[in-house]
Amino acid sequence: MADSLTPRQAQRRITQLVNYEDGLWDILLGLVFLALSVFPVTRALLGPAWNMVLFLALLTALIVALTAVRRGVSTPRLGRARMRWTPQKAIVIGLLVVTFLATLGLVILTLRFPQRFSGLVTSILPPWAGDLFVDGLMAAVVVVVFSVMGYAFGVARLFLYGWLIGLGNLASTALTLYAGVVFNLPLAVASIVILAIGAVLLARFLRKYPADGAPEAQE
Amino acid sequence: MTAAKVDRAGPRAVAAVDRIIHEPARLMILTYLSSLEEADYLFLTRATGLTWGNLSSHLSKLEAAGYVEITKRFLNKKPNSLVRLTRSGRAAVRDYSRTMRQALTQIKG
Repeated sequence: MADSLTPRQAQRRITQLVNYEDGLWDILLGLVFLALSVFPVTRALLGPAWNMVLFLALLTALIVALTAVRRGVSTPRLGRARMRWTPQKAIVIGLLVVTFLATLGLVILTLRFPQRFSGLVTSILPPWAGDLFVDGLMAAVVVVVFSVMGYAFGVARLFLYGWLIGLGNLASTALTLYAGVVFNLPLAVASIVILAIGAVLLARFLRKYPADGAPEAQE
Repeated sequence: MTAAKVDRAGPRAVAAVDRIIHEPARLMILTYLSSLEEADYLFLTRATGLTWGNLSSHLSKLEAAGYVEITKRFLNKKPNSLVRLTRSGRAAVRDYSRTMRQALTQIKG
């Protein structure tokens, strides 16, 4: 029992309980990527500006809903805990933020100077690789970011999510470029898999942790 | 017990470790609390797997030793107790960890 519990294991267990045990984070992730898979369709209907407004409003609503559901459903079943800010945690989060910002910067540069970037890439790589270079790079970053999170927080399914989202996005771009499919079907399938895992985890959580598990009066 | 004392006394010094912390369930509670700012009783039962009564009894001992601080309050008209490691509790866990590590190193040779 306690003789095999290291501080690192304790930290991982706390992170799992606080963030991943109830499956709500998975459901949020699934819904966000499901919205992104419909993004090109709504952009064609609404135009880029209104589409972005719609997406940001949806994202805000989902985050607010997640917070409210977590407060109303998870906290009474799991209890309250505030994690301590440790140097290791700061390093992991810092690395994730830097990786995300570097990718975002690269994507913005590519979109801002498409000719220069496309010329540079196709001079080195074959044309099809040039078409998919940015999405391939993004897929690699997504896999790396999710893998780092999975390893650091001890949540194995995040490795799967990285591959699902990364490859789903890449396949969606390939379908759009070469088959003219507007709807991001592979990304939608990946999102539905993540949503299903989240739903199963939530059902298991509700069964495993009853709401009346706090006999404070007995203290 | 300090690390210097362990060096002098060798592995026999393990017998003099802090008995309050040395009990497996209390060590587990303190290990969890070391990673937390604070947590309530319910969270600690979920994390440790201890029963309510068992946890309560161990926390009382830790509170009596000055290693944890328990704040009782009401949330939505229900009693809720928050537990946090005190400064001396954190130092005691650190000392215990160092003492045990050195003693085990000496035992292994």
